[in-house]
Order: sequence, then structure tokens, then C-alpha cells
Amino acid sequence: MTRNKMSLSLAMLLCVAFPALAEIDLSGSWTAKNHEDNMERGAGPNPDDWAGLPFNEAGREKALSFSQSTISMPERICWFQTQWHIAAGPFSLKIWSENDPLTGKINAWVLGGWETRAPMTIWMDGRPHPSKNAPHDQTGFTTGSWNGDVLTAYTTHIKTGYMRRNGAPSSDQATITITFMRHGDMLTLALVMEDPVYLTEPYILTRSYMSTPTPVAVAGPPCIVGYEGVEEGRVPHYLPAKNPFIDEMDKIYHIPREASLGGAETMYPDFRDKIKDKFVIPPKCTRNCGAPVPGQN
Amino acid sequence: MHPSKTMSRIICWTVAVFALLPFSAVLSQAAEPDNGELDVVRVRPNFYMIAGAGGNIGVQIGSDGVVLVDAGTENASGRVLAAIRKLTELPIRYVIDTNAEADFVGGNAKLAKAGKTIFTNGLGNAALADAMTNGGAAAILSHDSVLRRMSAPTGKKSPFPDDALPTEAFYSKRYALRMNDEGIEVLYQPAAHSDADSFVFFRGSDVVVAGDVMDKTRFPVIDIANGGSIQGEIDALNKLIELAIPPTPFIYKGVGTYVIPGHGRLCEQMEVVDYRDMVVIVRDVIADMIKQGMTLDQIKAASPAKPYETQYGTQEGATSAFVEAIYKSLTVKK
Repeated sequence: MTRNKMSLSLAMLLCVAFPALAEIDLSGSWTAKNHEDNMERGAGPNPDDWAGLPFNEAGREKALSFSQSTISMPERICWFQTQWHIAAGPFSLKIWSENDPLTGKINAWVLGGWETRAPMTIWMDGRPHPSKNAPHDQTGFTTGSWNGDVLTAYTTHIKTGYMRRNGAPSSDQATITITFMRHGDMLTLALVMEDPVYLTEPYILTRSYMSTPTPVAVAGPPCIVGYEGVEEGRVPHYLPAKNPFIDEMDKIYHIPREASLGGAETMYPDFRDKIKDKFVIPPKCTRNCGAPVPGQN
Repeated sequence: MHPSKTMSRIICWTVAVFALLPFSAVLSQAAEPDNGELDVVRVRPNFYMIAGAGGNIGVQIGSDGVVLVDAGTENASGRVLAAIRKLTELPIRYVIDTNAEADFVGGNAKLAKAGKTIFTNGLGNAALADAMTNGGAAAILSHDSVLRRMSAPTGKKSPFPDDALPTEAFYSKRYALRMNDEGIEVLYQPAAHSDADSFVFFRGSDVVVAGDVMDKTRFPVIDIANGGSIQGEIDALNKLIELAIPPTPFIYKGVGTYVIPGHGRLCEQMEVVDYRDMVVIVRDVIADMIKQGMTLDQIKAASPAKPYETQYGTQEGATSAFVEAIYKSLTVKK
């Protein structure tokens, strides 16, 4: 018995003592499999569809005040998304390592950027995160560690952004944890956002990618500010109770307001039971599917 | 206990502890100072921000010496001086005040006295240098409104000691100087947080020290009784946005103009835009409620700043004071 225990212990010790043996190569081009949340990642979510977001009251009110014209403000046209755009956007990934030229040791993994997202460096050399008074930049600050063959990256110091591209906000105090799991030619990312300003619980999404020989870009193009109809200094927004899209999801899909306005409860399967009597299956869509019902908006 | 069992248990516990390490390990500890310690953030190769001494302090260093923007509290001034000495042995030449609050000007006297006037007299006429300057100390520069706020009419007691008062006060909207090979503009903002605010813009370093016009830790404090107003606050924030340049067109390649707020972390233009938008939106909401005939109490009860309270309203009374200041500012009889 004692011998068995010792054998098991030694085996475990060996596993722990040589984690590098289990690390895997993430480098290459990875094409996004956008079947998951296709509408959200592609054309974009419906206005005021925040079902499944664990909003607190401030998050919901902030989202309700959002006008799509905000992104046409000259001051905001060239702003990038946070690294959450890996989850919210449709883009593929280019991943490479940056190695110490002398030892070959991996100092960092880098995820290439895209048109609306900056490249993301995952520091593997044990450096600490900057102080709370340090600036937040387009990429945030990310450190990583291996647990066996799973890489976990933790990002702080991000700028304000959106959890969903219809104005669901994320604050500069949010953190993002991304877990990279590779299974052969498939790569799965599990992303967790925690935001003490706008969320009551962590918000979790997964995304899948497939290895591709087609090169993926390492960075997006430059951004030039142009006039998009909003004068400098004007701040588009909706006043409380004046958001014209608040019942958009009800009009299109018969999804009641208590679901579309989000909250932690709407993330869980039990919530369907709660609203089942309020939900009437809409007639089968035959034309202009996913768009507002003509004349109702 | 049997020795082999004891050894076995020790090994098991050791293995368990090591086995858990990878899962419990914090990815990286933040390099943040303990409570009460100053945080010296490098902004540019020759520019630093000192946080934790009351209001944030800007520190420009060059061959002419040290230019400080704001001085923090009186209590923290010894630690601030020690932090500056770790950066350079060069003398402090200017302390520029962005406003007259105690957490910004409290350290004026000590930091100025630790410095040295630019009127160094090569012929050795120390008496002349003393007579022309603040006793040979570094100059304390501000808009006249700061001097007025810090001093008192004849016969009344000043809230600050004489040696803390600005030694160089200007009356114009803009005061310019050149130190350490770069142009420095002190830009007066007439009615923002109060009637005594200025931005200090370092044109070469591309850094703006914004004072209490922007407080990243809370809603702006708008001191109506001392000349502040909501429109003046918005005007000042718009000016700050105009001064700051974002890192376009290669937005992911670097940073833009840095903005040091009165309190809170180092910012860029984007954070100023976020802050301005917040102020404008809350102003618009309250203006609409006033239009509906709501009283101040009714407006406060309706939580017009709700979307921003979890970020800027966590300090006691911050939300109520902000809402009240906007209300008073919008309903003042002209």
C-alpha cells in the first residue's frame, strides 16, 4: 500500500516538476469557426439585445443610453476594441512566439491584431503587471502560464470598450482571462470577462479556430478619421426611457424585455422556465429574416 | 507512528502542495505600492507622475533642473521630495499649481524651499537673489486666481502660510515658458472645477497635467461657490481633448498624448473623451428632468447618474454633490 502511494506520489511529482514537457505549440494561422454566435460575430447583434449578459443596473442603464452614432464621433472613430473583440468579432488569429535569442526560451506569445483590435502580447517571463496608476493601452497587459498543455492568459489595464457590439459596455477596470486549448488542428479559446463596474458575475464565451495554411494578417490597416455625420464635441446618447429600440427583440422574436435587457439570471437555463408563459413562438420567417418587422420600427 | 507511514504522508503532502501550485498560482502580482507609499510612474524618459501624495504630481527633469506641476499635500511633501531625489539630484526650479486645493498646493512651501531659484547670481550677490526671489527658493507659479484663493484680504487669516503662496502669478489666459528644452504652456480654465484651474501642457514631452478638472477616481467636483460651473467643466474637458492627440493612424503601435489627471491613473485622450461624455450625458439627463419640472430632491431620487455610479460614485457623497452642482449650475438665475 505504502509502495503504491509512493509510486503515485513520485509520478505526480514528475508531472509537476517538468510542466514544460506538456506545453504545446500554438504558433500558426488559425481560421475562425464562426458558427458559434454567428449573428453577433458577423453582421452584429440586434440593438438592445443583451440577453445572457450578467449586467448590474449601471451596465444596463449605460447600455440603454448607447446610441450607435457614438462610434461615428470623430473622437471615437479610430478607437480599437479591447481584446474581448477576439470573442465579439469574426476574425481569425495569427499566433507566434517571441523567443530569447540565446536560450530559445519563449518570452512571449503574440496574437496578431486585426482591423479593430491591436496585437496582444502574452508575457511568459514572469514579469509583474504594472501598477494601478500606469496607463491602459489598446492591448492591455497580459501575462500567461501553462497548466499542462493549457495556456491561461490574464489581461489587465484595458481601455473601456464593448462586450457586445450593440453598446453593452465594459469598463477599464475589467479583466479578461483567456484559456487556450489545442486539440490537433482545432484551437478552442475560453474567454472570461470580469468587470466590477458593469457585471455582477463573470461573462464567459468560447470560440473555436482551425489550423489553416492560408496566412492570417498580423496587424490591421492604419485608421484615418473622417466625417461620419457627428460634429466634434457632440455626444450622441439616449435619455432614460427614450431608447427607441428597447422592445426590438420583442417585436422581432417575441423575447420579452426582462430577458433582452440581460442580468445574470438570463445566463442560466432555469430562466427559460420563468419566462416560458410569456414567450409565443413567432411565425416562421419567410423574408427579411432577422430584421425588424416592416412597419414596426 | 510507523516511520515508513510518516515518510509516506510527508511525501503525499509535499506532492499535494506541489501539484496544486500550478492551479493556485497567481499569474502575476501587480507591482503596486502599499498603502501610504508613493507610486512613481514613468511617463516619458524625462517625465514622471507621482501618485499617492494627494493630487497627482507631474515631474519634468532636464538640464535646467526639475519642474513640478502641483505639490501634493503638506504631509506627503517629505516623501515626495525623497522620491524626486531618487530620480535626480538636480534642483527644483518651478512648482506650477493647477488649482488651489490643499491636496495640490499643500506641499508648495517645502518643495519650493528644497529647490533653487533660476535667478542664480554668478557674481555672488546673494542678497539680490534673495530679494528678487522667494528667498532663493524655486518659484511657485500659478494663475492669479490660485493666489487669490490661497491668500486672504488684509487683516484676515490666510488658509495657507505665506511661504506656500505663489511667487509668480499671471493674469492672462496663457502663460508660456521654456524649460529643459521644451515649451511649457500654462492654460487657464476660467470656470471648470472652480475659477482657479489651469492645464500645464509640456509640448515636447507631449504630456498635459490636468489638475482637478479631471478626477479619474470620482465624478468631478464642481465648486459652484468658487466659480465652477458645469458648462465651464465641459468646456475645459473639450479643451483637454483638443490638446491631446490620439495615436492615429497607427493606433496599435504606440501611445498618444499623455494626460495626468488630478487623481487616478495616467490617461490618454480616450479616457478624457470617456470622462467628457459622462459629464455631458449626466448634464443632459438632469437638464431634461429640470425641463419636466422635477425638484432637486426628485432628481436625486431618480438617479440621473446611475450608469456611472459604480465607477465614479463610490466615494461617499460624490454622486449627490455632482448632481447638485449640475442642478445649481443649470438653474442659476442669470
